[in-house]
Amino acid sequence: MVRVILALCLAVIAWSSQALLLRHLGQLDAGAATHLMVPRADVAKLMATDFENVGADVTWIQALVFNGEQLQKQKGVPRDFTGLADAFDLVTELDPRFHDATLFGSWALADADQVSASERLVVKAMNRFPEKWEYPFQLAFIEFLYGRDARSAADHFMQASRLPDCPPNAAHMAAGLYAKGNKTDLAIATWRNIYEHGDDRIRGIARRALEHLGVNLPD
Amino acid sequence: MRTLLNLASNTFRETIRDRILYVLLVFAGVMIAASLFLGTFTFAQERKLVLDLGLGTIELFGVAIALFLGTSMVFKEVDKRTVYIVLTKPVPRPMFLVGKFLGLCMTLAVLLVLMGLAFCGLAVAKGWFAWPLVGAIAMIGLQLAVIVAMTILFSTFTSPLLSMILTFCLYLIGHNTTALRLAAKKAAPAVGHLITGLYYVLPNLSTFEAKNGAVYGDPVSAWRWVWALGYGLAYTIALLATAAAIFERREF
Amino acid sequence: MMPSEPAVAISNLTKVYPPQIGQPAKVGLSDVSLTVEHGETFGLLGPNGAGKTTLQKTLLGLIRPTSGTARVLGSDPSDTRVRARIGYLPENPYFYTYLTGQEFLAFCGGLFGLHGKPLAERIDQLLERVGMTHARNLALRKYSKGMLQRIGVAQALINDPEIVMLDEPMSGLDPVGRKELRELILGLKSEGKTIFFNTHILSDVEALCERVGILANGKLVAYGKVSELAQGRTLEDAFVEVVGGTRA
Repeated sequence: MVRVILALCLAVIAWSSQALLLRHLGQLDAGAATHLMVPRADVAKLMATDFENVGADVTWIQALVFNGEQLQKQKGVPRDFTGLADAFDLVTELDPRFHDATLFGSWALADADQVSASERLVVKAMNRFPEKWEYPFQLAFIEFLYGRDARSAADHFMQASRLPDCPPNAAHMAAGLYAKGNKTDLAIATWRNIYEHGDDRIRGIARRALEHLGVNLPD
Repeated sequence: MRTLLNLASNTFRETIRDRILYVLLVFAGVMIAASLFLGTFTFAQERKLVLDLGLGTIELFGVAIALFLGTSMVFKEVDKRTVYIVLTKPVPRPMFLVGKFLGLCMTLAVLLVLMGLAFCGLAVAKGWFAWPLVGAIAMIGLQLAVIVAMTILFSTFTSPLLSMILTFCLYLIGHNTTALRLAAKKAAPAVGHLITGLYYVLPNLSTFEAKNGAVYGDPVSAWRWVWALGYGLAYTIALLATAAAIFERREF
Repeated sequence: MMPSEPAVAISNLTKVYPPQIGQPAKVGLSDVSLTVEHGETFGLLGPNGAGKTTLQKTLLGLIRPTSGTARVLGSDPSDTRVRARIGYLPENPYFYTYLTGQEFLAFCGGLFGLHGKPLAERIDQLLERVGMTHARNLALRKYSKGMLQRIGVAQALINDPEIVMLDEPMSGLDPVGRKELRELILGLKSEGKTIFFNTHILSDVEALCERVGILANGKLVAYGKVSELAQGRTLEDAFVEVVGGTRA
């Protein structure tokens, strides 16, 4: 009987140790955590014991939950996304092939006003996977829509367009950005496109961005 | 050979009836189901989450079962004096240990097949199945054989609790050998050589790691199979030979 | 042709257990010498802790002597092959409780390389002989002490051994059981088997043994024919005198 109880305890410990390893003890008693605290990526990688994917997944869930909690806050209540960048960075260090973490992570960070962190996340992935068109494509969007750097965005759209399997609108976007003139209309058009074709989580980001540009979408 | 199979099947019969097994098996099932629930949290990542957590669960529970059953096996025989029945017959002591090893491996193989079938069944139902997943589970099986050999070695000379702790520590170290190599580089030359020596002696369980890649469809290459089987076999033989040498000297 | 060596030959056998933490070294056996001839029934008497079990374990290779020699059927006890000709029933044995009587005997027989029809027939014979046929399909955990003792005797005979070693075989048996076991031992005697049994029950020794040895505190304090040892007294009186004189 003792063995059975011991087995149950160890099973729970073994399972939850994946999550506990990545949570700062102080955060456990906070109802809605103010900061997201994750271990340093190099330390986490050393301690992952070949469970890198699981560690990445657990951190990913934490980051999404944290992000969602901040976004849910009432208007007027300050949002604090501290730690979100570290979390996405950790996810992609533990599992570099978790492409969605980079792509959605960069949107979430840019949306949280952490544009440099967003760009760094994508550049890291670009350097690791130079053959993937999604990364320069994504970087270009972030630079244009948040970073207001039309020239760099155009360059990255061009870079993406030269990679295998890239959709043709990369080149169109580049052309539009290289052209002189105010880019606000192009930005609005781009966000509308993203809103219409993106999944639920991106639609929220697009809606907020359009509101910021003075375009209110029907509910 | 017949005697060996006799011993192995007796150990199989003994361990397959252990209640711990069923507790842990149920837990594993619950965890696999829970990972499905977790999967709904993250948009379009359900597949990755469920497969990652499922494989992780199979490995963790396989290790747990190997620990619980293996560390008490030899101890129980000596404590309950059933060892007298076997060792007073024309059974060489090493054969007794190998029989225990094979019997427990048979039990773990059955469990791995059960957990694997549940996991792969779920994957098939969801349209996520790929053969590398099966390869990853097979690699877990090889790793468990090495762990069983470790538990048998420790249980020839120490208590079940200490065997469990030592084996679990070796499991963690075995998956963290990069840390050892880093430490060897940073340390003073003499210490560095010692640590490098340790790196080669301690089990390199990352040899059997295929879970992370399997979720991305990476098959285990033929060369990796050869290497894993060869290393696993060699290390297991070394562990069991050491256990036999210790057991040979024991008095009852 | 009778073998030239005795069935059991022990010469100056000493076993000293090394000191443990908080305990001094313990002398298990001290300079013991005895022989048991083929076909003989030999009883080893002594109070608890005298070293009877230690002696048998040395003959079975479970314990290594500190000095002196022991030989069983002409071989060193560490030789695994000689155990194919030995049958052993340990004191208060535990068996694999999840097995039935039948399965347990099949397992034991398998360890001697027996299998198939010959093994099945042997199991039937033995179960009959020890009166356990009715309980063959019952799990051992449901056996009473007496039943376990009987199945223990059966496993000791599964290989039709030349020498049968029994350690306190009567323990846990009721008077009927003891009578049946005595008859069984007499039956083994008539088959020409050598029997070496440890006991502290003097009446069994008087009834069954030609020769006897008495151990006390690891020393062989008396050894020889039962009649010679008794010297007109009861064996009990002789035993008490010999053992009492050497009590620490």
